[in-house]
Amino acid sequence: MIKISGSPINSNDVLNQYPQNSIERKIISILSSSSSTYNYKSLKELKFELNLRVNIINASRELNGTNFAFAVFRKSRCNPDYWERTDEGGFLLKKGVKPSHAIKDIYINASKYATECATAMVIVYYKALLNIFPEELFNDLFSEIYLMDWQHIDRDLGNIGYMEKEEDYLPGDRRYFKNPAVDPVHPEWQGENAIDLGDGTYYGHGIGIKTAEKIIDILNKLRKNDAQISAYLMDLAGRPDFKYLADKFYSFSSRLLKRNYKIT
Amino acid sequence: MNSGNLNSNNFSFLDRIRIMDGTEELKSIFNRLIKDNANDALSLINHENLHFPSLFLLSPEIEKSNLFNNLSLRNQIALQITNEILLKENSNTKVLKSEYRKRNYPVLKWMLETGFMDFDIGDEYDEVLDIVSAILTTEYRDKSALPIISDMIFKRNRKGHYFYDLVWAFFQCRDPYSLSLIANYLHSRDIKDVKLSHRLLSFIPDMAYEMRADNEKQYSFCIRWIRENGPFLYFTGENFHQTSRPTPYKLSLEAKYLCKSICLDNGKPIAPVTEEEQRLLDNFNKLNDDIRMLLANCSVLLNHQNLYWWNMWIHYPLSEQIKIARTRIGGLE
Repeated sequence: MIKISGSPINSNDVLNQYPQNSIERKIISILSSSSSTYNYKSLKELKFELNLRVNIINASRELNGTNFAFAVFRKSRCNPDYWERTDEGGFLLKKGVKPSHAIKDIYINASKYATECATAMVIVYYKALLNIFPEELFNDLFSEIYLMDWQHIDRDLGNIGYMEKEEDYLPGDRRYFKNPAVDPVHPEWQGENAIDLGDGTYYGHGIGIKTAEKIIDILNKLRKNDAQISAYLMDLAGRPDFKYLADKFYSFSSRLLKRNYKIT
Repeated sequence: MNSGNLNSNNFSFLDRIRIMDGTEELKSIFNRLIKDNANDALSLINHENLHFPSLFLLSPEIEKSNLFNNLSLRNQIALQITNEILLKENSNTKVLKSEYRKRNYPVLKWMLETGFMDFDIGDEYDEVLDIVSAILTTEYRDKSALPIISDMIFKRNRKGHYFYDLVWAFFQCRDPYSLSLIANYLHSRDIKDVKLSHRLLSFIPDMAYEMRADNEKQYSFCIRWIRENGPFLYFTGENFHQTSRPTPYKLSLEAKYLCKSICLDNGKPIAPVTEEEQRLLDNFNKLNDDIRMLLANCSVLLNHQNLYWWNMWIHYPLSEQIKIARTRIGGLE
């Protein structure tokens, strides 16, 4: 059930605002038919989450379509015009570089970059936010980006590093395929971070866009000698704090409106 | 905090050159020796006391001079393992095949024990040691490797080098008592050690994310917690690849309440739960988490102090158990 300002809503009113077969409609259907209650302060808060989820999916598909390569941290690489590669293999935003330009560059000059699947997920989140947020807000919020799996996530995006069991799993969620019997020669395949694309497929960097079964099949081929346990999709999801980010977005928009009003 | 106890007498001639004069001099002397007297070169490289870093650094010279077949079996296996790791071949192939398991073990141990102190050789060398550590902990469950692995984790962290695969290898050994090796770094004078120790142990309740002023108290608390809860912890497999703050072990409150050991791999009791125990658990599980924690803590305390009392207490009605627990443990209202 979806509640806005404490009152249940007629989901059809929201559904009708989105095209047939859209990801937004799929998410609304899951939320409204759930036994859990999903509370939103306002309709625009709900719409922000829908928009961000769609953009997480779009940013995933877009990244998958580039030449962005897979590499373990020791062999990671980045465009030195925008990023400094640290000794541990992460990418630290260079001084004087705009965060928005640096994130865009990963998509533009993708062949200059290579890293592991978790860092790719973080890049996807930044790109999704960049698609929605005005550049000024994005650069303000994420002024010191350090891309290195889940270890140095910006405080405003901190929640993406945690995974919890959820009542419902939604398109745009981060999921984890665990490979408990991974071959120790390939610790990078101890699991695969993936974005649920909402059509039965997942994007995992290094594996591409595949169904859950196919991802499990690939991970199973990277298990140790005589492995008995199969890889599996964990009953957990990672999500950004949609409400917090919506609040940042709408506060900024209203400040911007006031500022422009004063100017004109 | 070094785990190794290697004095200079344990180093071979080639190791001493490497340590005193550097890699280039080592290579140059070895190349000259091959030219002048290949047998001398071979006896030096095959010396029993040779340390793995020297073999690793001389491997291009060995290959260039076609000396591989004249190496000792230990050195041959070590170089084959190194190549397989760096070429990223599956361990189902060649030298890491399970049929060589027994033969490989002492070589893997030698690579780690003589190799862990050198951490400025390069990324490929670090990668080899990471994988050797992981093989020892996942394939052999070799707990004796853990002090060295923890030492490497903290050294790498101090230098800002990559250490997450080592953390993974460390936890893969599935030994809750090894957490005390990490807790030892709460004493360190280096703030980086203290911070990392906190981070790795942050799943322990009351280990605040923010560091407390008194690390000694925190250390004592940590060690007590590990000792008290060790038999009731199970391995989750969570790691930094998946989450910012992994919980590698979870506490089974049910097991702690019954004072019953569990299987580390799945959290299930080792001995079957009796009908009476199941009845106790059914009631216990109706309580909220805070009360369950209170009862579990009290149960272990009484069990350690006096089995007779414990047996009486656990058969009291829950309201009575809670009353006694509040008196013994305090806290909750």
